[in-house]
Amino acid sequence: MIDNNNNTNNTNNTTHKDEIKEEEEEDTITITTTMNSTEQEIEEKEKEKEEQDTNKENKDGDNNESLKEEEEKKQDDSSTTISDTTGTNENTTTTTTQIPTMIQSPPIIGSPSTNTTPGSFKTNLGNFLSNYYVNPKQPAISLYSGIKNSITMIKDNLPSPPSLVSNSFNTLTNLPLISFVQNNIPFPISYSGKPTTTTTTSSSVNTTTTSTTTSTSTITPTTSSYHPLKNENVELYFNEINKRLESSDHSHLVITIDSFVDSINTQIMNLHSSPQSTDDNNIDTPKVDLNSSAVVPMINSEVIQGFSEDICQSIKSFMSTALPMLLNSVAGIPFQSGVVPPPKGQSTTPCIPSLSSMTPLDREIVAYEYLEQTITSKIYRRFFSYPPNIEMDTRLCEHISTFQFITPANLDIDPDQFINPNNLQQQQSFEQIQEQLLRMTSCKSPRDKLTCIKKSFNSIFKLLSFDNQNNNNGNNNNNNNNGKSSSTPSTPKIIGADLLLPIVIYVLIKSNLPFLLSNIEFISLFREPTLIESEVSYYFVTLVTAATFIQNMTMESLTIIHPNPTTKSPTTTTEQSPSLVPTTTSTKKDGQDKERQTKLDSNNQQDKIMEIKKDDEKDKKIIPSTTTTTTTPSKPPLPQQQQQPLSPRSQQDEIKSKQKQWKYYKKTAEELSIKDIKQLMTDFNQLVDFWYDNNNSHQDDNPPQ
Amino acid sequence: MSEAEKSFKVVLLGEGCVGKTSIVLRYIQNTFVDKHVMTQHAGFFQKNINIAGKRVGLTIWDTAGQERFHALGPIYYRGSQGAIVVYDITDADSYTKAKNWIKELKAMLGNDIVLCLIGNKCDLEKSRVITLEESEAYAASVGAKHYGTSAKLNKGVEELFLDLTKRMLTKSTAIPTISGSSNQGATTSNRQDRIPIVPENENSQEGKTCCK
Repeated sequence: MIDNNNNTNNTNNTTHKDEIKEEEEEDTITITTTMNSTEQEIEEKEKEKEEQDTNKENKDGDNNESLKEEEEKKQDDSSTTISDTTGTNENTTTTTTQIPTMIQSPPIIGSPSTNTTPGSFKTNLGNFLSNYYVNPKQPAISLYSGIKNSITMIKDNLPSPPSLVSNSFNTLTNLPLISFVQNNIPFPISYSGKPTTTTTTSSSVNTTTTSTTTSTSTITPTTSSYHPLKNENVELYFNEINKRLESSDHSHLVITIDSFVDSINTQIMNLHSSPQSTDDNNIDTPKVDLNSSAVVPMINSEVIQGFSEDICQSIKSFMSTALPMLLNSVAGIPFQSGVVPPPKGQSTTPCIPSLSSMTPLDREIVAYEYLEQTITSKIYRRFFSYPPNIEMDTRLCEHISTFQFITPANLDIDPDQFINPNNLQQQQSFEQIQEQLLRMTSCKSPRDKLTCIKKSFNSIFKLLSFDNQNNNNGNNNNNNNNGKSSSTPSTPKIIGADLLLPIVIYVLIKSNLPFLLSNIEFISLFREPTLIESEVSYYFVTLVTAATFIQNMTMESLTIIHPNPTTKSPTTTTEQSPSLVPTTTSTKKDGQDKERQTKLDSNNQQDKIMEIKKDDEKDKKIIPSTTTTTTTPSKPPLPQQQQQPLSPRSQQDEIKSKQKQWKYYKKTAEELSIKDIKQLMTDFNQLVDFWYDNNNSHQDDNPPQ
Repeated sequence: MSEAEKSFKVVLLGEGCVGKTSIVLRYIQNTFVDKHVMTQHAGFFQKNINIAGKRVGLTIWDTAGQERFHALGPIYYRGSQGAIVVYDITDADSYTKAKNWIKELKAMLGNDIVLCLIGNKCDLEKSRVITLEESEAYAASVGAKHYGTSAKLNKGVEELFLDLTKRMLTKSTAIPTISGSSNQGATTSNRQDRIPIVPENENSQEGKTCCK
């Protein structure tokens, strides 16, 4: 293998070591050959196994029968005490060997009147399946129709959601339907995990290689066989799947999904109306210990956590149940593929054309994406109108709105590396970023939301590289202390997280998205982690980090610099020390600021507040001012410096006259409410108008330079 | 380009301006000249390498080093298989920060993570504050490995990532992983064994043991 690699690699690789090569070529040839040999062995074993299994099947079938009888007896007893037993139900982990738990988990439909349904369905399916596998030579069609019958049984006997809710089922894993299917049908069918038999094509060999390799690795904890699809046009498949499912043959699947979604929705509603018991403190996500100054609770507050984990779990388990059904009707993958030849005749469900060229694993992924999309987009509305979520979001919005004065300098963002307020194009692309982020809320599925995040991050990079191009001359002498200058001579500047995170925070604050936290929660709950491209997941994590930071943000966590040094000389001071701004200086400055705050007389204090805001306002308003005064882009620094000395003089009279009536002037930013801020902003706008008028007249007086 | 057999998430930690980004930049750029330039200017880096015939994908996550973001670290390093903790050999403060990171990582992720302690800026040997002996002794005491690198001179960077990958590979193929994977296989195959409808034929080596 190594020799092979060498040959192919020598062309484009010169610096590699003996053992290491760049990934340029396919190794599948060697893998497939090895797979073929192992496959034969496995096939032989398989035959032996089949005999063993059928024997076992008989025994277990008997076991099941007796079990069912016991269970049915139990049901009568336990139906009166349903609420007591719900706590002990751990249906998902029961096995046939664990008879006690099996009995303990009563597959009871909510109301006693439907008590017989699970039993009959179970017997029906159990009988059918055991019969079927005793005689595996049966035509495949009977398997299909048998399962179809069983599914119609489910369908016909589906409990109505209200009756479920009335029984105070806390988790959907306790739902009879799901626990039944989970316990009685070997879902999910891991056809991809099995080397398929002789009839399979080379494409399925590929999947066996991938699946076996992934199954031996424990890197991805959940469904280890999934990987993000490279093809972006999943919607195309979705459309076809939709069309397929519209036909009456497959209506059972749609109904199943719909009723499941209904039950989830009613569960969410019910959760809200009933007082929540949140006694589960076992949050496995590491808690972030921020300072005691945390204002807003963390994203994963216990209420949300307890609620959504249940929902999430039930959705996951439902998806694993529905996936094979969907695959069967859409992707042409029969149940137990590789064991039973695909069904023939009338009920044949050929693969959707666009999927036919894909490997079974990819088909499964598409089907999974489809399921995820359908289900999540249906619970989306409920989730976002879930009152605690709304509360969480509004609290954050209020919190953010008190920080609207923020400037890049407050977050130690080097103005050179970020937005130049004088550049209209940059302003536009900044708006594009915000637009993308806003669009995220209107997307109904986590996948689409992630796409929006990706787009907005790409716009950020575009914005930054764009900036870089403009300042190309000045940037060459930067970055020496990081050794970057030697490594990035010609390529666009690479942005580290040191820069990226503050920028994302800044963008989030400035755009103050509604439903930011709900969106994050939604994505992290309902998106299969292995299906997220690793790059996108990095962006998402960055977004989460930024949101968490904002939640806990206080004035202390910002670098408050007196505006004079930053606004007057952004080009001189920061270029000399582009990346030295962080931590140490920030803490010192904070301390200084506190001291200053106490010592300052009222005049200065007010000046400071006003100037911070002015600084912010300049970002927005400098453009109109420049366009009115001067048209050349090189001029803007000039009027700024002129305005600086002029403005205090013109304001001071105004300020002093108002100071006595002004109730805010001793308050710090934390003490201000939103109303206050609004009032302040209107005042400030008036002031700015006044200021600009003044300024323009002064400028008109001065001869243009 | 085909999928990597294994993929590892590596997280870069350390104080601001110790050169985290430069290290990974040096590593990626020296080998990938211009192929992925468009997608990689993001604090997120991907690289595939071959080690002993095994295809390994590295995804390297840069983190923000500013002190105010320190508390947000867990969101980044959750689920990572390797951590590169960088300090500046001319800056004692960054060294204490690095030690803090390692302590935190050990507390949060236990022994599941492969730790690397990096003394960067070895080109500034003259103004070295942290002695090599001290840092190496510390690294050994916490089960980490110490490397001296210079991103500027491209010293030790390649070796660092190569060695880290090897260690992650051995870790993933060693005892914990195999038991973990067979556990995983066991849960799914258990489910199938429960009602042995499916003729078992998967993973004949490891999967079968649980049926007996």
